[in-house]
Amino acid sequence: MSNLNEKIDEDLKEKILKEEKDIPIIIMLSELNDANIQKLEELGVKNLDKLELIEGVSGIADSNLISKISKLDFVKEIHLDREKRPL
Amino acid sequence: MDLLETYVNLMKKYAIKANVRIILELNTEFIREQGTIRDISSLEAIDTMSPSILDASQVEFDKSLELINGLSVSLPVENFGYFSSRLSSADVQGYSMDAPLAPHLAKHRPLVKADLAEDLGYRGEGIKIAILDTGLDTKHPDLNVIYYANYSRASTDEDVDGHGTHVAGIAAGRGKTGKWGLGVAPKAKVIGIKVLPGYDSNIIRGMQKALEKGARIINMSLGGPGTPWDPLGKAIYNVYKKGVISIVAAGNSGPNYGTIESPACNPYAIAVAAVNYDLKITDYSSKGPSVDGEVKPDISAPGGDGRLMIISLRSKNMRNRTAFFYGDYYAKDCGTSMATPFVTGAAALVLEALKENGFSCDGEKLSDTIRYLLLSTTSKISANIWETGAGFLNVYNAVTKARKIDSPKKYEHPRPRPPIKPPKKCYRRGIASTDFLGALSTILKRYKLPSVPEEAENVILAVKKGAGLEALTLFSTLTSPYAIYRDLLVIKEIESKLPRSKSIIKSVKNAISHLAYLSKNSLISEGAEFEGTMWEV
Repeated sequence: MSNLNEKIDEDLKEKILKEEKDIPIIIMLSELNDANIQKLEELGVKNLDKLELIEGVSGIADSNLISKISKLDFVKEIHLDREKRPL
Repeated sequence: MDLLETYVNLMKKYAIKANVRIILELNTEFIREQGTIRDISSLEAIDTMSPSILDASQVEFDKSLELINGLSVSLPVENFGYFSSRLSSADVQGYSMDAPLAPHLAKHRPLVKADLAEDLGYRGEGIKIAILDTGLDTKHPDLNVIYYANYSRASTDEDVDGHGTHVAGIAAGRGKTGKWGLGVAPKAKVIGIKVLPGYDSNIIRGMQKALEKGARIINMSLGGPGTPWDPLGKAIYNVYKKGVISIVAAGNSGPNYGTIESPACNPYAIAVAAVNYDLKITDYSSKGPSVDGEVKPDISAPGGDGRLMIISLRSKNMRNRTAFFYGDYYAKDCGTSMATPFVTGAAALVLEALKENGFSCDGEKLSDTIRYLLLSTTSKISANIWETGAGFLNVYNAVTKARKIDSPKKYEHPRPRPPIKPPKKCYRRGIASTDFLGALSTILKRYKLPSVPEEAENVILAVKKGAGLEALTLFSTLTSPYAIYRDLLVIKEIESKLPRSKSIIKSVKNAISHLAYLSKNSLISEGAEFEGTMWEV
């Protein structure tokens, strides 16, 4: 986990360093297309869902996998999918 | 079950000797027999209606309430059943608990000058408003719901929390059940999208659907941790570029500065702060600056507080917070969540006025112009820019200006020096404690409550004796800030997850007390974060 890159947000980095599993994430892509989604699926990202509005996908991944997918060229950013509540 | 029944049942269940204060609404016929309501100013007078019942129930007279032809009395809880079952319908029209008041929407509309805007003919006719929340009661007579979908993580489509229905009523209640259900834009069409319980991705998916369904304004009375340009922030900017404006609750993490939550912290969201009925900024309302040092919130509107909550629509599927019910159609609540839909309704009226004016522009320039019209027309209140942004919502001024505007405009906040160094992240503040009473005492101290009503003391006693969430809900209703209720829910959640091993409990308690210290000093705030940390100790 030593080479966590700039694509990963700070809160997510903390979770990766703790080697957490099943982390909800949002992946921003250079292009939202079937080929890129399939690649993420093949690597093991679970519950993939398209987010057209931001050219991204949401899904669930373990720490190791997040580090791996952050190195993909078509992956622009990876963020923690944070919970929101009524105010 | 209403507030009075909940209270009486709780006191009986835990064998607490307490008095209950109730308001009796008398029949006009009975009053006529007595002379006027002024004449019924003592127990001797009301004794005439049923002396033996009053004696047996140990009823004590408090005051006469001329405005509603009523009397305020108190009696021991254990006598309430006997008393209420024997009241003659010929004398008494109804009764309710003498609890803190909650002004209904018709009382709040004049505060934001929505009534004056309506006099000009603006009611949000045909404007589509998306409410992204805990869901909606789609069959509520006061809502014109044209589309409904569930994008949340909950399996049920219903609004079991009731939050979303309450919010929708403030923005677009039609008032068909009466003036209590009349919102700012009663002729607006509502697109209901359930996104809570949920994560940023649920909300982004909901925003996408709102866009597809033609929403012109998106109301988000929600918040939590995040950053201005995280995916949800980007989604807000992306819809803004398409001429769709997001009105977002600033957060309930006040009173400290630097407590704006996400996604309100995004510069393209209109972040709404909450003021109380006296037009003072509330303790719970989040304050700027935002993470990037920018001015936030952008505007303020009525959000109510624990003493005077806002009555709006109630979801018939609302299962919790029964003490918040006001009859079949209404419920009360408070928070920046409630302030937000006032601005959403106002934006609908502004769009209607722009349309009537023949004003033509779209995309980002349209969003800029709506933002400009809302923020450049506010009323001044005694709060600084980090508390209220541009000022207090004035719907009349906004629509009046919208009728005359002839070119796109953009609003820029002044840029004074922030009162504190901007925070690193948007937080949600919480309190951590395994001890209910300890937590209550912390909360009471934090909000500097002047006094605790007698009923609240009795509820605290019920908590001591083991009453659960019901008592805590009632406590929040009878005492004060909205934050008490939410904070205690967090505490309850934590308690339910505590492992049974004594040694683990001890270390968890140590962790929680440490986190309580951090929380108290605004060094940590977000529920999920301290739960996570707790388990690692």
